Amino acid sequence: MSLLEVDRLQVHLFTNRGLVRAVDGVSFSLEAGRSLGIVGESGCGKTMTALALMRLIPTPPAQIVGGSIRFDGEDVVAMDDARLRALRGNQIAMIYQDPMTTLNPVFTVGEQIAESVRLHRHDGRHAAFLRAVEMLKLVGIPDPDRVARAYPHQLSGGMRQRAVIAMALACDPKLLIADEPTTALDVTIQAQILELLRRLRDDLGTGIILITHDLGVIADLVDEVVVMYAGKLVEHAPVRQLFAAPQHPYTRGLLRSVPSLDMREHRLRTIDGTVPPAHAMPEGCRFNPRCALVMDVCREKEPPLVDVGGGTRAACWALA
Amino acid sequence: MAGYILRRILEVIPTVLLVLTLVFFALRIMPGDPAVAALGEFAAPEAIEAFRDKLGLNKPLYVQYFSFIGQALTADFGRSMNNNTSVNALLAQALPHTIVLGLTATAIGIVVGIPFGAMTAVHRNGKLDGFGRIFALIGFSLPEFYFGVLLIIVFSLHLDWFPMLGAGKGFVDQAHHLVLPAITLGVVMAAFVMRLTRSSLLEVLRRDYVRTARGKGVPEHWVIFKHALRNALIPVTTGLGIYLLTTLSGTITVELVFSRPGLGTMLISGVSARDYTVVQAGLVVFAFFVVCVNLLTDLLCAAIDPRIALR
Repeated sequence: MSLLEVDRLQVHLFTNRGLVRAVDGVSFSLEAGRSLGIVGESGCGKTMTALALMRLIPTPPAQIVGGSIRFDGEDVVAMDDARLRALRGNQIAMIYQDPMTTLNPVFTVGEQIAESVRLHRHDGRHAAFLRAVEMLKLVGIPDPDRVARAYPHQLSGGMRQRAVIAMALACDPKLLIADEPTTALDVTIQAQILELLRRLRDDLGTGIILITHDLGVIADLVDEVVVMYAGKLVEHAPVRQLFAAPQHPYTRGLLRSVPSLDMREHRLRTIDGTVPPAHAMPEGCRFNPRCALVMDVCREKEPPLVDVGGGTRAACWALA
Repeated sequence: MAGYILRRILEVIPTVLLVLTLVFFALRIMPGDPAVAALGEFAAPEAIEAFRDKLGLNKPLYVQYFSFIGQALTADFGRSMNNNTSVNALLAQALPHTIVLGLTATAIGIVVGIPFGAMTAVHRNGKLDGFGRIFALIGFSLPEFYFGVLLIIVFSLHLDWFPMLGAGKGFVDQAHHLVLPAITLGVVMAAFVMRLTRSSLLEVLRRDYVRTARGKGVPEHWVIFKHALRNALIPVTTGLGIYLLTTLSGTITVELVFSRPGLGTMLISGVSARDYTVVQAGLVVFAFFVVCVNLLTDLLCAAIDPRIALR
């Protein structure tokens, strides 16, 4: 049994401008101690997918309308509130994108880390606080005792993100979901945070889902990659396979747009066109207006996700 | 924190001096003569002159000003120009009634307004929210003098549940007399606090740290009352502070409507008698309240929000 099995997950947004299929039939699974990356441009549904795994999507307007999420064999979608609370912060924890807004400004960092310890382990106030200090030390914060007593506004962005990670790890979760954990940080801090995540995966055996638009981050840290485009899973492959032999035209475009030092061309390659507006998706394959290999069938029918060998699945008529 | 409090208290001193100066000169500009008001329009010029002499009204303005400031700073407001009783004694009689009325109304405003506002925010667009909207509309559009009279007509005249006028004697009787005036002021304040809490909490509930709390497995009522409400209360406290100042003038109206003794009643009678000393004392006490409420609001905000004291 896998740690996490996501099957044809569908999240819809019911907005004033119409229905948005933010996540449309996404499936993947993750074994304990392994890591999976979800990549895609802004607005492709990767954050929605991540939030849906813990049922943290803002309802309304968003709602899980189909599919299943099984964590340790248990269906998260059908779970009652009490069971869900027991899971959140305890077995599944999340690192959020913006450390500036993720922490509550009126409580100390230590209190906020200790809170989940008190909730899930029923530790006393003092024991929980000691655990918070211990976690801050684990994520490499110097002088953790002082930082635990500090308010978020007294810390730098990198320190805050470490505190958020400490909070996520406080109850030894089996699954850690990191939603663009380094996007809001300076490059040097980014490297430190990624190093920290790598160490946690190796030392603690935590399953990690890493959501990012940065392919460099993915290459470093994960075993498998899911590529999303406009709410759809377009390719799912082992990380080496993805970089060595990308199958879907969108994945190839993404990889080509990563600048490298030995590049002969002076101009950065981009994918032509833009992501269509969420409430006006094209018929057929959602990537067809931007695809160089577009065929008639692409404009009529959605491509199925097919096994193309080497452990890769891709959704493209050119491969079907 | 201690430094912040000290700084805020020191800032009060120039404010108070300015208020005292304004009060003094505003009264001297006001038309009418206290001597004429006290002795009648047809009093002999000699009698009026003697009266003015006795009260020091013939002294140069700056002498009067400095003696007033000196008195005010030592909390001795002299004697009433009208009937020679000590103004301090008048204040001692009036103040407790006004303070009790103001505090009770504020308590009603907070105890009703904050939980009610929080619930309307949580059940946004639900039945309770609709009821809250109607309550707020009524609260905002009813002037105190009208609402007070309405309460008197229904609960005193028709139902005979509460006494109509005065402040009563003894604890139970006084509390009984307090109900209608306190409700008059309190309902309006509750409506205000409710709407403020609602909008502030709705804003906070969209913040990322609320999602973080949910993501930790915090039960929903804790998410709202611990994580969200504490943040939402920061603007509510500031708003409440400003609103309390409006309520201070509201007490004047309510005291008149219910014929209650108090600072308002004392001020109004002082003004009509051109009783400088009484009006001066009343205004100074009002100004003192304003300064205190402002200080208290700032300190409360700093206690709720750790980011404030450092600014």
